[in-house]
Order: sequence, then C-alpha cells, then structure tokens
Amino acid sequence: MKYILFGLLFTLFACTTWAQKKYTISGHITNASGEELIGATIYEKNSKLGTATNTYGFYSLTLPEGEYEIEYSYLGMETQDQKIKLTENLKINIKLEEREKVIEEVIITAERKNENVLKTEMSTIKLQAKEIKQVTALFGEVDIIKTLQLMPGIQATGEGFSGFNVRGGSPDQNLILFDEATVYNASHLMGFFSVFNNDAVKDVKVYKGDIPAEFGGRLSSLLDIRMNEGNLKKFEATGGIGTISSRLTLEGPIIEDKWSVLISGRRTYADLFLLLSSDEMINSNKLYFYDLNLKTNYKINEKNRVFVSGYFGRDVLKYGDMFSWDWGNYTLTTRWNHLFSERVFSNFSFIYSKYDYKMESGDDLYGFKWVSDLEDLKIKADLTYFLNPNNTVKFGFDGTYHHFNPGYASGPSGDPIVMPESNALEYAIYLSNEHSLGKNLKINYGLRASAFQNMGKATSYNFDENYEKIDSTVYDQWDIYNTFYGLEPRLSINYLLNQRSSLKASYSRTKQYLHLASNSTGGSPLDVWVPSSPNIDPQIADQVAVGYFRNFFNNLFETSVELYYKNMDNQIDFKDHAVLSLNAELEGEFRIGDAWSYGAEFFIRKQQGKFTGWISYTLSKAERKIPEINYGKVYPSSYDRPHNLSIVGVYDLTKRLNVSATWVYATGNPVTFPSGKYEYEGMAVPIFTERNSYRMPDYHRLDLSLTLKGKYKPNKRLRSELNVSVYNVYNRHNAWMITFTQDPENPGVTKAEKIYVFPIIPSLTWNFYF
Amino acid sequence: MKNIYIYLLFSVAIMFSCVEDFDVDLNSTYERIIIQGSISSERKAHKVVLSKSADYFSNQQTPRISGATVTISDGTDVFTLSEVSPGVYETDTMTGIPGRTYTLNAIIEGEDYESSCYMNYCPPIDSIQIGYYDYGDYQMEDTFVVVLLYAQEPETEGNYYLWNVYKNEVLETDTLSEKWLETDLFVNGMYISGYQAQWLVANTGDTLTLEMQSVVEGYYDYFYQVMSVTDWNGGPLAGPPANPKGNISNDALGFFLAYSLERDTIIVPPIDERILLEWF
Repeated sequence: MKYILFGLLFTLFACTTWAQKKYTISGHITNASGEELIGATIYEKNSKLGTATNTYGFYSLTLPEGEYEIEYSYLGMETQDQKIKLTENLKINIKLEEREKVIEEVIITAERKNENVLKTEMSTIKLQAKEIKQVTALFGEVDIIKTLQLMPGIQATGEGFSGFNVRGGSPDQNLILFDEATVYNASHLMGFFSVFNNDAVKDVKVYKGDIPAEFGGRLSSLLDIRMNEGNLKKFEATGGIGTISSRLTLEGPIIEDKWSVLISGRRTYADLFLLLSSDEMINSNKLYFYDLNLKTNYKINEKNRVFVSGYFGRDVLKYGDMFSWDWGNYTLTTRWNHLFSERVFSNFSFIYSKYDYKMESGDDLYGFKWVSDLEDLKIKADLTYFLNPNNTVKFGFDGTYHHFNPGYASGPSGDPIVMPESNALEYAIYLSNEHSLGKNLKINYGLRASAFQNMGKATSYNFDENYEKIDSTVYDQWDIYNTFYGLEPRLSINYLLNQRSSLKASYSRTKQYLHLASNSTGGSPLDVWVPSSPNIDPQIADQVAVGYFRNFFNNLFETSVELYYKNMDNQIDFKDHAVLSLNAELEGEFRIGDAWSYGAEFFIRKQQGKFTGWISYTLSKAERKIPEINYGKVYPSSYDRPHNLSIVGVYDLTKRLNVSATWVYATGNPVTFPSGKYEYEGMAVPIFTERNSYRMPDYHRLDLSLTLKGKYKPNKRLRSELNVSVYNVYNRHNAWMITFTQDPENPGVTKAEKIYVFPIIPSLTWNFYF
Repeated sequence: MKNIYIYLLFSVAIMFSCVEDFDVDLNSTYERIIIQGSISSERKAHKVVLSKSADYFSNQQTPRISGATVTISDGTDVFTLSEVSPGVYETDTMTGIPGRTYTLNAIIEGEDYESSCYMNYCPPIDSIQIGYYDYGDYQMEDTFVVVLLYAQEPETEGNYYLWNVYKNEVLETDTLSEKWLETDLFVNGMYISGYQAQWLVANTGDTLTLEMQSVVEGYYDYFYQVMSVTDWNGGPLAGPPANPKGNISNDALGFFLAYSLERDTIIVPPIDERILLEWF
C-alpha cells in the first residue's frame, strides 16, 4: 500500500516537471485584527480552481502563467476580488473585513459558499467561536462541547455533561487537541462544564470519521480547537460577568503586525458567597475552577512565524483544612511555521501536556495523600506541498513520550500504595494527497503508519486466563519491552454531481493505544489513562461512511445526509465491581470485546442572514459484545441513543437585539435496573440481570436566550451586551439518574426515584469589549 | 475506596438536585436462595437466616425458608442449627474460636449450599471516649455524639474492622448501612488514637457500647458492593451496577461471616467532659 502511494506521488512529481510555466500565488488571509482565518477560500473565477487556507491561515495556489480574477472569501466577511497578472510567484496577503450582518439578507450574491459540497472531507463539523456564543448555555456559560452535542452524530454522555460520544464511540475515543496539545480530561466540576473558555477560542472542528492521516491515536473522533492568536493591530479587552463565572481576555500587539500576545482567564465564584458566612465551618469551604490561556504569536518574517500557547486549568474542592482535592490540565505548545518555498508550507511543534490530580486529607497524624499524573512530550512535523491545483500533498511525522504515574497514596502508617509508573513511546509517519481527477472527482488518500512501545522503568503483571495475577516482570529504565505497530489507511472520495450537490464516501482505519480506565458514563477526575501493553491490545476501528451533500437557494441552506458503519475491535469494558483506582493490577480488571455502531445523520444548516441555525437528526445504534459481560450476549452500549434531534435557531430582531432558541430531544441512555431483590441485614439489595436492558426516560428540553447589544456610538470604545438566558424553559424534570431505594425501617417497601439536576434555570451575563 | 470519593463528588453534583418518585415496570427473574449468617467469638446462639429473592417491587418481606437442614462446622466439630422461627436458624449457645475456618452447610429443598469463612483475631480496645462537634448556636445539651476509639492495630497486614454501637444495650446499628467498616491499609501497625468509629444521637447518661469486629476482606468488599448499589449509588459518575459478590456456593446470594469481636462501654458524660472535635 505504502509503495503504491509513493509510486503514485513520484508520477505526480514527474508530471509537473515538463508542464507549461507555472507560478504560485501564496500568502495569509487574516481578519481586520490580524487574526489568521482558517478555511478561508481562494477561488479563481475563470478556471474554477480554488483552495482554502490551512490552520495557520496560509494558502498557496499554483496556476499557469496568465491573467486571473481571484476571489477571497470567508463566512461572515466581505468577499474581496483581485485581478492579477501571473508572470511570477506572487505573495498576496489579504485582510477581510467583517460584514454588517443586517444588510446581509438583502444581498445574497452569487458567492461560492459551497465548500461543504466541494471538499472531499465529510463527517466534519466546523464552528466559529461567534456561532458557539449564540447558542443558549447552561448558567449562561458558553460551552464549545455542549454546542457540538447539538450536531448530528455527537451526543452528550448524560444530562448536563460536557463529555461526548461520537457515532457510538466511548468518550475516551475522542482526541481533544487544544492548539495541538492533547487535553486528557476536558471537563470541570463533575463534568458539567468543559475546560475551553470560548473567549480564547478561534475555531473548532470535529472529525467524526474520515480523520486526516496527520492525526491518530484515538478511534472515534478528533476535536481540533485552535486558540485565538491575539490582535496584531490594537489592544483589546473582552470579558463578561456571568451567573457563575467571570471572564477576561486581554490581547494586543507588542509590535504592531509582528508580535501579539493574548491572555485569557475565567473563574467560577459560587464559593465566594460562602465567604459571606461568619461561620468558619461554611466559609472555609471551596469549590471552584479556573482556566488560564496564554498565547503569543511572533512573525519573524514572511517565511517564519513562531507561536507559543499554553493552557492551565484547575478544579478545587476543599473542606477547610481537612480535605482538599484538585485536578487539572496543563498544556504548552511551541510552534514554528516555516515556508520552504511558496509551495511548501511546514509546521514544527513541540508540545507538552499533563493531567494530574491530588487529594489530601487530615492533619500530619492521620493525613492521607493521593496523587496521580500523566505527562506527554511530543514533537511533530507537518509539511504541505501545494504541488498544483489538483494535488496537495501532506506528509510528516510525530513522536510522543508518555509518562504514566497512575497513582500513589500514602496514609499515616507511611506504607504507601504505589501503582507502578511506566513509560511509552508513540510515533507515526504519514503521507496523504488530495487529488482532483477531472472536474468532478476528487480523492483524498493517505496512509498513516503508527507504532507504540512500552518502555521501562516499569512493572508488568502477567495474568492467567481467569485474570488472576501469576507474577510480574520488572523492566529497567529505557527497556523497550513491547511493541505494537500498524497501518491506518484513510480514503475519501467526492463526486461532484453539480455545483450544488455531491456524493461522498470515506473509509478510515484508526488505532488507539491509550485507554481510559473508566466504567462510568459521566467519567470522573480520578480516572486514569492506561497504555496498551502485553495485556491490552490497541483498539482498532474501521469506519465507512457515505454521504449526499446538497445546497439550496444559492447555498443559503446546506443540507447533508450521511450513513456510517463503524466496527471496533479490542473494546474495553470492566469486570463487575472493578477497582479502577489505586489498583496496581488494574489490567486484570479489563474485559475485552467487540463493538459496532451504525446510523444515519441528517443535517440542515443556514449560516447567513437574519435567521441562522440548524436542525440535526441522528438515527443510530451502538452495541457491544464482550465474552465476560452480560453472559456473553450482545448488549446496547451505554451511549446508544436511537433518536437524537436538535433544533437551533438564532434570529436578529433588530440590529441590537437577537433571540436564540434550542430544542433537543433524545432517547434515554440505556441503563441497568434490578429485576429482583433480596434482604440482607435490613437492606433491600437489588438483583441485576441483563446489562443496559432498560432506558432512562426520553430527554427533551427547550432553551431560550435574548441578547441586547449596547447602542453603537462611533467614538465610544466600550461596547457591551446583556444576555438573558433560560435553560430548560418548560421545566422538564429530565432524569439525571434513577435510584432504587427502600424504606429505611422496612426493606420490604421499595420504590424508584428520579433525581434531576437542572430544572428551569435563568441566568444573566454581561459581556463587554473595549 | 474510590466509591467514597465518587460519592463525595456525586453529593456535590446533587447539591442542587431534586427527587421525585418514578414509575417503572421491572422484569422478573428466577428465585435465588439468600443466606445471611454469622458466627462469632462471643458465647451465644449464632444465627443464620434463610430467605428467597422476590420481585423488586413485591412490597412485602421476602419469603423465609423453613424446614432446611443447617450446620456449621469448624473442621472437627459440627454444630446443627435449629429453626427458632420461620427461616431463622440458631446454634446452641457456643463460642467461635479465632484462627479457625468455619463452614456453613445448608440443605434447602434437596439442594446443597455451602460457605466457608475464616475467623480473624480482633485486637483489644484500649478505651473509648465520647467526642462532639461545636455547632455554635445550634448546639443542644444532648445531641449527636461520636464514639472515639483507642487501640493498637496489629502488625499483620490485611485486617478489616466493622463497628457497631449499642445504646442502653440496644443495637443502634441494626441495618448494614449503619455499620461502619474500615481497612488497616493506611494505618497498619499503628496506635489508633481517637478514631471516629461510630456516630449517633445520645443523651448524657446513656450507656454506649462500641463493638469492634474483625472481619474478612470479602465481607469488607461485600459491604461496599451492597452500599454501591443502594445508599451510595453514584449514578452516572459510577460504573454500571453489578450484583454484590457474596461467599455462598450454588448461585445463592448473601454472606456467611465469621468474626471475632471486642467491646467497650462508656456512659455519655456531660458536654463539658466530652472531647471537642475540630471541624477541620
């Protein structure tokens, strides 16, 4: 396979050498504040050839010598046209201006907004920070992941949770990258909020399948979040005061058009009210989280740029001095963009990321301490060769060093429980090409070769067929004691039926070498990541998808239908009453089997005009079969929700006032309920039979919000807006969990109870910019 | 142990939650035999209760099993239990001996059920004290008291303890959820000073007896497993519920426990003679 690809590439290179004289137009496309635009389109009107900017706002288009009319466009921005005479390589940097939204409805120009139809990529969703902001949020806390949960094929793990499942995969099968750094636990506070502060986010893209060859390491999806780079033109402050948190973002140039910085912070303050209490028992408690984002962007020259970005976030739960528990992520990304030529773009990254938690209780005498962390060091090189308008070749490699410290706990006696630390190396090389064959057919083919090695210093346990420990092997520092490798082909095809509609198909194979030891649907901060090892094979998924994409009314409405089938091998579940923390023999708790999912996703979206929004409906099924679970019979995955409907609408009533509404409906999650009971020491103990054979009640909810912008005054710098939102307007008591309880005095009397967490919740947020 | 933390997290999550009754039709399952029995180092008639499982919403006491043949053996002697009330079987007055393994045998409707349990040694209690928390203005003369334990934990690893409390000679902790269990995992071989072994409402002058039982690891696990599917259900923050794993053969549920015990008694002193416990 690999050789065929290389062969093919050589043919392509060979083809171009004797063609007619060609020149390259290249450059960066930015918005008014100098922020690079991702996915802006560049289109040559006569030849109908085009391209789009990459994640660094760079584009490159190679055309034969001649005269051209080039159109630069980006959603929500004024399109720019340029007539050029191409007799040499041209560097054209474009600055697009934001369009006043209200007049938009009037001029529906014949703009080329059919990117969704033209691109080979399918099963992707792209959101801008602006769009995310318009969706009503719980407590007014704008949340990227919760907005994504309203998209086809993406589901919330549970009521109010910011965890998500993609096409029947488990939450740990999502690769979450924040400026290329892996975020291992993307949620705050029992999973109700995600760690991404929308003010610091530029662009969000999810791949539900058809993950590009340059990414790997997770089975089901890639969530690629890019942080804002900072205003290169002028100093700017953005912030907000909300019901549960406040935010502030400062950005501006250090050297205009050359060097910018951004710092963004957010903190919840529910616990600050506790300080008002004079009672020490109450005011010494703490419960909050914060996020801090930092980024600096330096343009050395046209050919070289450097970016450094970091994220630091933490949750703190504290009961006076008696007990404290905190957890959080750190990431640091250093990137260097280099243009080898107008046609060869490269990016080199050095990435650090860490997740850790710490729990401490008691005084010196009866103190207890529990720590765990996971660290990654990663290097990555990505090169793009804009060969010609018909071929864009990408290649590169990445290498990661993982260090696992799954847990260390010590109490007063001084004999700690230590889960053995271990290390692993993960690397990959890839090559892909987006290839246009004639006017209507485009193929993107790629191959990723990945490898994973367990490395000492480590202790590996050996288990018998009953998962009982036989013995253990200790490996020295740097000792490589186990290797996995494999090929991950990726393929997508777009057949353009006409300028408004296309048929797409894709196949991808993905491998996952790290697994989250968690058996809960919601996840917990104590969950640890476990590497593949002699006891745990890598997870492997094969996914095929076909789709029909059609735009209506001059691309005003985008619609799509996608069908997918995903088969997943070496899927992880756990034995009954599995002990997943502070268990050195953790691998013995794993139970491995197969899972599969399939479904149909329907999507209608309108992104322009006074009225914007989307409708998404997913019909799906997700099942698993694991020999030791549910008597070896097939059972529904905990994330199997056959019907899932979301309707999102935003309407600009006037220039200053807009309303937004969201309605969601989903079948309840599968759950395990008792089939019988028995009495033991005054307790009614339930008897469970089949796994996930019941369902939670259907979930539905309506959210409304209203945003009023302050009067626009040309000489006033401060602009502000007030947002009133109501979550769960008709106060549906959506079940968060169902419990089975007994009368405390009489185990003979039992009942089921529904616990709901979010009744109708109004909230108020004030946002400002200056 | 993680269960406790998950439950803690869960309790934060449900701080602002509401509860209402929920109607659901549940399936039935076949009938299981349930054995709840114990033998201890105390001189008394030791009890075994035989019952059957029922539908979850049957809303009556689960059926008791009469007419079974029940014996307990310590390897040399066999003690036969007699049915004192429907489903309740007792030995003659006798004493279990720590260090021995006891085997329960029950023949129910022709089927044989068996279970073995080791009786561990229990370290002596040095003393117990009464502690209290300062509730400020909410403090009442007689209120919630804490029984504090002072004892030497033995050097051997893997000891598990259960604490019961009696008020004026009546067992206060008569359901499993009121008992308190702990492992020596982090305190092995230490002198235990002022450990909060039980909490209850008691008045000055009440006679409190703390009973410390040394139980097997399997029982400690069983306790947490039962609690995790009942009172400490962690909902979506915990894993899927599973049946607690008892120690009875032949698909029967429940537990047969052998334990040794120690007791100490104290009369609840007036509040100024109790030990003030710090909140944090």
